[in-house]
Amino acid sequence: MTGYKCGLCKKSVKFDVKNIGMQCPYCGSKIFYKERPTIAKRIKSK
Amino acid sequence: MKVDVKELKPKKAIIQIEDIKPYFVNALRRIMISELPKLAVNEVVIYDNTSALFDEIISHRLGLVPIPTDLSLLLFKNECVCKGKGCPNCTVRYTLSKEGEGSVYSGDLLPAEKSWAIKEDKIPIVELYGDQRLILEVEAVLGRGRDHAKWQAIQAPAYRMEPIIEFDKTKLDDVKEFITKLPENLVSIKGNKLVLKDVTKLPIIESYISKENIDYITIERDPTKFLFHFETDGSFTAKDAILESVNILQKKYEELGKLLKNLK
Repeated sequence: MTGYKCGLCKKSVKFDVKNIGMQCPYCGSKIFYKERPTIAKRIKSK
Repeated sequence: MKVDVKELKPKKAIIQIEDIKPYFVNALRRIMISELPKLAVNEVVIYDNTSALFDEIISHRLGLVPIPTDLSLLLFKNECVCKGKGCPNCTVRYTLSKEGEGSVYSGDLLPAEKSWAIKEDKIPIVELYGDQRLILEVEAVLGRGRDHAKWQAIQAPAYRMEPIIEFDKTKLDDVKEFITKLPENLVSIKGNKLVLKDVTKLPIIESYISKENIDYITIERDPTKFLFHFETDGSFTAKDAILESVNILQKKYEELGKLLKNLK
């Protein structure tokens, strides 16, 4: 299950990666943003 | 050797050097580009980034921010007593935390110690909209221009040889007439030579000579007189940059001398 944020109502929803045709269960929107994991990311400045 | 400082600003210098060979000035130029160490952001720890730019782009932009460098206080990370782990002797740490509408500038990077505060504080990093936020921590370490452009403190160091503009003495009247066509106070006549008031204006006279198809004026370069100019990115003052570069060049020659003494 992967966490997404609805583009319209901004609520967090979870979907299976295999899921086809994602739709927000709260508002019906089909636009999602992938939520950032809450871990620190270390990057080399190139 | 004669040295005359023509212009010395905090970030820019023009120096006239006489009685010297081109390879020596070129060695100094190359030291400035690739050997002079400076601080630059090397690692970024991103805690949150909901801005429009990817983490990698933000870290790249942070890498190019000039950080004031004091070489007497810092060591290279691989030469430090901490053996590369990162300590106050080799690493300078900054934090950045911003949320909400507005631009994130280089000045938003807050140092652990005030003496490392970034002077070029209006370099845009990213623009935030709505409730977007950026929270990160960066580590700046010493490096050299030969490894990455972010560690290049001097921008466009260059030199030009002083021009010698000579003319045929028998064509003095033609030369005087030619000078009237040039912009005012560009050159003056001295013997059979034309003396430029400002050497950087040479292309103007060259273009006029080419336009008028003049064959009685010749332009040559004096390979012993140079006008050396450079600008820094703000991590050093121009004075510190050239003095430090000369030190590095001197150390390299000394090292070479020591090695050659051991030859059997």
